[in-house]
Amino acid sequence: MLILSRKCGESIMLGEDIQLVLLEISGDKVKLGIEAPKSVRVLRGELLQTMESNRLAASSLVSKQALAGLKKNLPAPQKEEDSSV
Amino acid sequence: MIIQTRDFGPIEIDDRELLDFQQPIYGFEHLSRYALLSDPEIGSGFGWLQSVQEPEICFIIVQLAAVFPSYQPIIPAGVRRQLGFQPQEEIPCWGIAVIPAEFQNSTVNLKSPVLINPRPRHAAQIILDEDYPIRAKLLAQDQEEG
Repeated sequence: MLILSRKCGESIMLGEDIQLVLLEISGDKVKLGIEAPKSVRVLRGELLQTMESNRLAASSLVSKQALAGLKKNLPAPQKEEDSSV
Repeated sequence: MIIQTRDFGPIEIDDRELLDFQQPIYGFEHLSRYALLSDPEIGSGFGWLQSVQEPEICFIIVQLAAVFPSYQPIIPAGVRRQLGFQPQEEIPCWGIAVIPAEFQNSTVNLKSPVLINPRPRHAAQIILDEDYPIRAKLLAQDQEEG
């Protein structure tokens, strides 16, 4: 993996027409500006992972046995102690 | 109407019971209408999110508050409004589960919960800003003996 250090306002070019600009740093968050042609799909990493995870969830046939086993092994829902009726 | 389901065969369901996804399930953007089904043998806590449009698409979802009592993500105000929740109302969060035959390895997505408002029957899958795992184990390691 290529690792570069950048200051606020500095940018990185990917190829000739994709520019990443480091806009702001605050705490553990970094704001990036992305300038890219419309044909380039820009996705947050976790979005792609969620899509993959969703596809996996939808494509796996769940056996009733597995489900029953899972249910049996899950801790029983905890009742709230101070729930007022 | 009668809908075809993946796990229960054809089922009769009132149109008004169907969920309308205001923000679709990621990767399934072409599907917006689902039925939320349950299996009395498995009981509450688990739901079947069955696509009305494509019978073979069905997600098993888990009520997250029941399994992860400390799970209380911050839901953006815009999403609250979109789904018709009141500002202080508690929002039921469901997680899409991946349940393999070795059920001990089952995981659930805590980063991208499915929010369902039962009254206007609106729903959405959102991605939280907070740090939560996409593949959280449903069963703790020490419970694997079963």
